[in-house]
Amino acid sequence: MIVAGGIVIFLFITSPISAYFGRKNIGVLMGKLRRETFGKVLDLPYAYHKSRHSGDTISRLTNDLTEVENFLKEGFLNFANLLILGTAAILYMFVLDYRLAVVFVIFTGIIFKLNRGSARKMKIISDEVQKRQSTFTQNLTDVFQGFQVMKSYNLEARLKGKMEEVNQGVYEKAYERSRQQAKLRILSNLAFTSSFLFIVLFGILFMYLGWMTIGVVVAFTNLQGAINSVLNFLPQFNQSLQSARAALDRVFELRDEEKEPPVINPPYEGEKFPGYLAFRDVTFTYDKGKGEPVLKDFSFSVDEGKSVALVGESGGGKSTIIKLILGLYPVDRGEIVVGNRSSSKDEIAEIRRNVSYVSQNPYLFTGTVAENISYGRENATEEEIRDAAVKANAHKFIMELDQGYDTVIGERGLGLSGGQKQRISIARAIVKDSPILLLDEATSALDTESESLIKDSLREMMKGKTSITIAHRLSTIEDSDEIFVMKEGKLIERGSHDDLLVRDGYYKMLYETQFTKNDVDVKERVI
Amino acid sequence: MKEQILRIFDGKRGKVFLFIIPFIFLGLGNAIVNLTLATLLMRVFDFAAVGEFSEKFTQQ
Repeated sequence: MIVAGGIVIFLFITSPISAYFGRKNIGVLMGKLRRETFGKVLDLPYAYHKSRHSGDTISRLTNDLTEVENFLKEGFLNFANLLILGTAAILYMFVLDYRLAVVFVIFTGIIFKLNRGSARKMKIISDEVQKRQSTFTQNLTDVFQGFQVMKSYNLEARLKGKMEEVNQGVYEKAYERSRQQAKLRILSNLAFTSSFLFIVLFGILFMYLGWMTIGVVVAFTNLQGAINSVLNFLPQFNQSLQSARAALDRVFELRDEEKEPPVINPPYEGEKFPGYLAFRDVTFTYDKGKGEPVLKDFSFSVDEGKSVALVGESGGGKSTIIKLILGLYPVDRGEIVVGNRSSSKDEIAEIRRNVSYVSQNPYLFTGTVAENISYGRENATEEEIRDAAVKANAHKFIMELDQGYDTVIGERGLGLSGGQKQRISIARAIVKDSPILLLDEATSALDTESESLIKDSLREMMKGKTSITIAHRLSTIEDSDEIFVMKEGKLIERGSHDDLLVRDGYYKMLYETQFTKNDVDVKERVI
Repeated sequence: MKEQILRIFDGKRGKVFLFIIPFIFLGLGNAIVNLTLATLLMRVFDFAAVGEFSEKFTQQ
């Protein structure tokens, strides 16, 4: 009796402590799920992100994981609690009177069956709700990313209409889910009320037969009340469970995608990486098995320390070459050699560590200026960061910012001009100090003053390095050691600027077209 | 379903068990309170319905 009393008191006291630890466990588990899923998103290949809307991935990381968290915090916690209560109550009923307990269990079984039958339907509806929520997030992402375009084209009303349509879709499905939930609740209430009546009726009958006392009947109705709370909770639990399952399916679908080998970022030390680069019979198609190859049996090589420019019409495969060097897509056939490494999957990380990339649209992360430059090399010192900024012609304007290198840059470099952002991104590439540079239209989106400053920065950065530059404006690449002229995925001419002009081929035609156009532009401006 | 749960816990049943222990104690605490109440009610009603108390109650 004393032991039993002790257990009761112990459980009574530990109950709130258990609730605390239960919630803590959920927090830890959700932290782990979020961390792992986000890590997986970063490890996924570039091709994955290019083939899917970013909003869908964001929705999986936010809406879907929140759905799982809500289930654990509200559904699972209460269910675990009530399940034990319900089981204990049923067992106690059997201890008190097995005949009445059997009657009760039969009715409970019917209610449970009803709930199970509709669970499948609930999962289908929940799946659809999650998908529609994902579409909503996709549209929302579009609005934020294209805010400037939206404003400039007066698209507010049109996009509002579109969002309204998508939102209506979410609402309709969510409403259907609530309807289904209400149906389940009504069914379980009805079933439960009838089971209560049966207990009372059978209890009176058994009392009349002398099988039980009034106390047992009262205890039965009290226990039935406890089980009532379990059964009433079942539809809500089912709905929450099915939503969480649908959400988990989508999260695991993302986590099942094949990832790239891990990119380890050890200190930049060790043997000197050779600045040699070669494409050997490379064939590449973006949409494997469907589209035409962008590059077919494509070969070229660049010796250490040389500067090569890629020119040609849009869609000729210039940017594809840069993407393939960076290992953003796997090639269909052939081999890409960078330094002493091959483009085979295991060596992508090593290649990327030795290649600096400056794009047309520099991307700055939310954080300080110094932090953004140090993304080039994790262990860069303050002095190295400053030196890189000086070489990139960025030091002066950085010092004019409120907090210099400690100024926090907003989302996508908000508050900085295009030229300033580009100079920070060049400083990032300089601090990386890699033997190979890839410049994709690095100056094309800039005004003349910024372009001139950036050209100086680039010249400084390219000293003694192997570089591949993509440029539309041929005047910017005249000094390159070699110019590759590309057309429809093929290398049709190569040589120095002077050689190519003498040859009177496609390059000369491109050059003259640009020259004439520039001439006309200048005349128009004068007029 | 079972597969999904195991995946969340890296396929380790021990982790699943550790996760649910606080919920088991929480449920047991709640169950004990309810069963004790039911037992008390049963005793009170039985005491009230039969024996000395019932007779005195009926006489009054």
